[in-house]
Amino acid sequence: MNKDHDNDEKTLKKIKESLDFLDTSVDVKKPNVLQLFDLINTVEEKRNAKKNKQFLVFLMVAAVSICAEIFLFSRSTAIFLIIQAVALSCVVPFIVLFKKKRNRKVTF
Amino acid sequence: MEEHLIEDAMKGNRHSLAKLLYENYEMVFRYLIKFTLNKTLAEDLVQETMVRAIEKFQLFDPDKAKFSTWLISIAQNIYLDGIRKRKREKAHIDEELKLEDLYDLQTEHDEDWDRVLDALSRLSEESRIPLVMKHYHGYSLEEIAQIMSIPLGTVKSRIHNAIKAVRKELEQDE
Repeated sequence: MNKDHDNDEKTLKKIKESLDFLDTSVDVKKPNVLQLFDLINTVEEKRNAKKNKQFLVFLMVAAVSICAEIFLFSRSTAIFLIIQAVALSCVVPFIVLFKKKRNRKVTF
Repeated sequence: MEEHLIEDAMKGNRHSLAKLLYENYEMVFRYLIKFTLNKTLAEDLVQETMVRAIEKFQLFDPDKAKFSTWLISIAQNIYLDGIRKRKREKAHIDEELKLEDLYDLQTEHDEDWDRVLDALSRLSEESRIPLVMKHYHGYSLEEIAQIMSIPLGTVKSRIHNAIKAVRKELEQDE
């Protein structure tokens, strides 16, 4: 039992030493500040484009639903359905946009 | 110095954020390489960490954690999510570790270290991660269980089996 424990301790010491060695010997391909700045700009642009797209989908869904309901139903029913349509318009853009797989791969 | 950069970055200064990420880039890479033992994978993960950090920077709260700790938790989550995803898709291809890809074998070092790294690379990621977390980074068993979303007993047995496997490999070589 004690021998096992000692051997485990030895193994753990070696693991630690090996990882310390790895830490000091591996080279890092590090981007410069400018490259990271470009990356930030790209990510921000994508985020803004996504927001715009989301808003556009919201407007489209809301407009189509409201028009359809005004033509198809009486005023009181239409008002009720318009409220529903607005609520739906808030949900649909998220479903549409989250379904898409994002390509996050970047290279410096 | 870092506090000023964080303050500026939070006000929307992109140069400060870039500098902040630059200063922590190597630290995140060195953290990840010890788990992955794969340089390419660690490089991909650190890049993805940077993207995620930019996206989520508004959520960073300097009163709750240091910026480096926050980055590490992002990196850790990305790495663990990747493992879970690969497991789900069953598309994981075991890459054989080539020590010369990791570092120059000519560098003066103890030969045992090559064998240990080789043995560690042969462990499954599920076993290697808790072992490195516990015995290299000093996380508690409870913390590991929480981070990896697995029961405490599983953490203990994985660490125990990992040490046993490395020990066995070393004894075989002797």
